[in-house]
Amino acid sequence: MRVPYDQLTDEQIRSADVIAVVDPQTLAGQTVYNGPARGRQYPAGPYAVQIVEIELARDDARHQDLRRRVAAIKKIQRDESASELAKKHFQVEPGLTRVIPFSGSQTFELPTAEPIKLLEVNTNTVPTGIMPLGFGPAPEAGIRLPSVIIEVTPDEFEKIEAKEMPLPKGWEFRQREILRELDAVESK
Amino acid sequence: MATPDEWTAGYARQAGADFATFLLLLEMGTVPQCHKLQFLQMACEKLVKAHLISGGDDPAKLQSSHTRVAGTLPVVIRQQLIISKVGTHNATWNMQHARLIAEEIELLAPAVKRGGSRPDNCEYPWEDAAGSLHVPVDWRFKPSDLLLAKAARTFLKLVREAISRLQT
Repeated sequence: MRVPYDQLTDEQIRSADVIAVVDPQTLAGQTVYNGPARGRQYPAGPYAVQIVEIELARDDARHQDLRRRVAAIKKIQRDESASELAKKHFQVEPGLTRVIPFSGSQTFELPTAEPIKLLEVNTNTVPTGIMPLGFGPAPEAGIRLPSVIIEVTPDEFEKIEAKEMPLPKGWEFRQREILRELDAVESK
Repeated sequence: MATPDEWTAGYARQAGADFATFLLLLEMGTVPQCHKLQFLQMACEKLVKAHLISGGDDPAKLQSSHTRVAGTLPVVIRQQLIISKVGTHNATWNMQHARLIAEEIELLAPAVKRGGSRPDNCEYPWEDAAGSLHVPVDWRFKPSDLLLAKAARTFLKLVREAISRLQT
């Protein structure tokens, strides 16, 4: 799909897997967003990849605005997906007490999407240390993005908080905790 | 140099072969339990390792180490439960059972002894606290009982699906 910059909608950005800017004169292209690239999808494809090409001249001053807009929308989308995934986990895990998203950067960096990273505290698990488990997207189950899950016991979580048990590279920035639905209602 | 995706698929393929052998042995009444369960333990450990590589772990490091499955396998099973149509009518109960089975599967590996309280394993003879020698081939393993429970069928289906998911 090719869209002039002025006609680009937020919904087109949301549904795009790949976003590129194309100069209408030279047809030279540049990728603005490419993700989620990591992880195998389940069930196996083929899957349609939604590519949006935005017509914008190379020297147009609005390039930076476009990047900011795409970054903002894709960040919201990732946060929504993280919440949805956490909700599914809460539904099947009575021992799950805390779900905290993490990121490798303070801002949502384009062009490649980072997987959802969740640190989960579970009273029903056993201590095994920091074991990041990676999962691919599963679009049919409503999981559009790849994810990495670290599950720990409450004691291990205290060690993480006390910096006695470091999280891996790429887990430097703690995001807002995702609450179980009942807790979320009570905290409002 | 192989990519992490290739390593993941490689581990999953080997896990699939281990799991197929486990199912084959399960049908053969004359095969000792220790051998049946050893293949299940190996399949589950490789399945977890495939996901650890996908999560960023170094494949070379995982080749020579034992990975504890009691805490990790349930996370893999949970993900499969969410995306699968198997066992979702009582997912919470299935998860509780999966955690029990995963703990017992972990104990099948000789490296795991839970502080000496559970030296039983699938491979090597051991001595109990009273000084009696036990041999895996004669031992009745707890996972065998758990595998007879109704939820075990769901658990095994989810393990098989999780392995297949990574192979495709």
